[in-house]
Amino acid sequence: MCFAGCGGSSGSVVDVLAASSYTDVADELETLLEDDLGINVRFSFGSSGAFLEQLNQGAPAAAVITADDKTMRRLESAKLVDASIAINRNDLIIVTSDSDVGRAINSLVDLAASDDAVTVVCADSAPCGAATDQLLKQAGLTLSPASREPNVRATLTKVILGEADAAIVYGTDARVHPDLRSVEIVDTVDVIGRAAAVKGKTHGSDIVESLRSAAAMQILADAGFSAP
Amino acid sequence: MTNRPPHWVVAIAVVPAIVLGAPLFALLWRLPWSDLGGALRSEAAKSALGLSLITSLSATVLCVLFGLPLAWLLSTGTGVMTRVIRALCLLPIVLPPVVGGVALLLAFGRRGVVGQWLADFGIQLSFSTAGVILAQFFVSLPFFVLSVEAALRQMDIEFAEVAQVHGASPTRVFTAVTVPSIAPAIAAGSVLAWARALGEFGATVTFAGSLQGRTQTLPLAVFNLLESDPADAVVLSAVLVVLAVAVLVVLRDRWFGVLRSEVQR
Repeated sequence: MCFAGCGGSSGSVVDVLAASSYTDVADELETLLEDDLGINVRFSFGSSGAFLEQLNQGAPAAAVITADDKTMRRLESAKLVDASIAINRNDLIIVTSDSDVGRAINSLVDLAASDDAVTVVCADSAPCGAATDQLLKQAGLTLSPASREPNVRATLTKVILGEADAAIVYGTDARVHPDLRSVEIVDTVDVIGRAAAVKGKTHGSDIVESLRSAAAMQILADAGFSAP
Repeated sequence: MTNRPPHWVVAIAVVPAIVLGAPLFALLWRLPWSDLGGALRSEAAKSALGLSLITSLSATVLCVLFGLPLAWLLSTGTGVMTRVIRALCLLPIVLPPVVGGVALLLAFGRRGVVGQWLADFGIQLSFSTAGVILAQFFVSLPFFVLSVEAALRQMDIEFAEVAQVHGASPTRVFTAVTVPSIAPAIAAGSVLAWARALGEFGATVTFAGSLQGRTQTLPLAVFNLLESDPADAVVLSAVLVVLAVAVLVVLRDRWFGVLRSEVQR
């Protein structure tokens, strides 16, 4: 959120709201957009679930990138954004710590069956949490998580800090921390990331256009995001 | 002679009154009156309300049990140690709660300095209701200790001295003379600590996580609902406002009483 006095030369900074799973590609995407469009771009991150309320309250963003379809549809039906485009596909995987308990988990079934693994997942209000619920329902499994964290990065952090043994996060998040074990999920749930221009904001549609360029796709692919 | 402030003072003073009052007014304005019951009867709201009451009251009891001896110690001491401990007691007030949560993780988390030792006994505080109480105790203890210490320092020590001369032990003097005479400060400190514990968010979500029925207290439920059901979030926020106003009403006599005696002096 931008308060008075932030951003140095005021007016020249264009804000983009992005789901927290895009944290690690932000620097490169920022540079790309700045080179493409000749403007100052700044990403700010949060749970996609919060974007509706933030835009409703007039958050100064020109474009939005959500982690899933559902959240974007809500923004579209609230007439807050123009028609969106799909920019990538992500999938859910399990990450575990390198502890004995963590290493014993080799599938979603193991995770659901484990009595002593401390597991964290995303809140149901965040896209990764909604996808997790869908995944479990689809597999006919139940999980008793120790916590449902506000967004995917907070979820991952609990495993990095060693407070949790396992978490369900996006595949791209797991790549960022190679010291964590990642466990593929058979028949995983795909999550489509979407971008849209905020209605009535200059540069919004240029940013979205630039996000589907070959260069942007390459940045996303390098970070492990699949093509939509 | 009354010293009425000039008009320009009134004009400026209205600004902060609006800044403080507008959010509360807006909250009540946006309250979905027709659907209050529905929002409060939801499973998430009921369990958050119950959990908040249990944890904040537990934290308050801990504040009294541990804070009273601590305040006593601080009120009598003058040395370096006293000053160091008092500074430590003040820290949670000025520390951003989320930083407090990180610090709690490093100390009492599963790999924390104390936590890994607790883990050997099969105790994990993070992600537990006990962890919520610990986080609330951490942020609310200063309010109790400061309130009680101030009263102890201002106390008329004559009665205590008389009791001591008549052979009462320090423990007996404290429980029979000191505690009754500072009872109002203990009550006020408890209510302040309880209110702070009830509103705790940052340290809780960082240290204890958020799980309905176990660690998701009212403020955490509000934060979660804001993303899925903003109207319900407004209703739960209003519950917290009502509780806060109730605290002010309860404390009013005490605070105004203190002010009055200051003026008379």
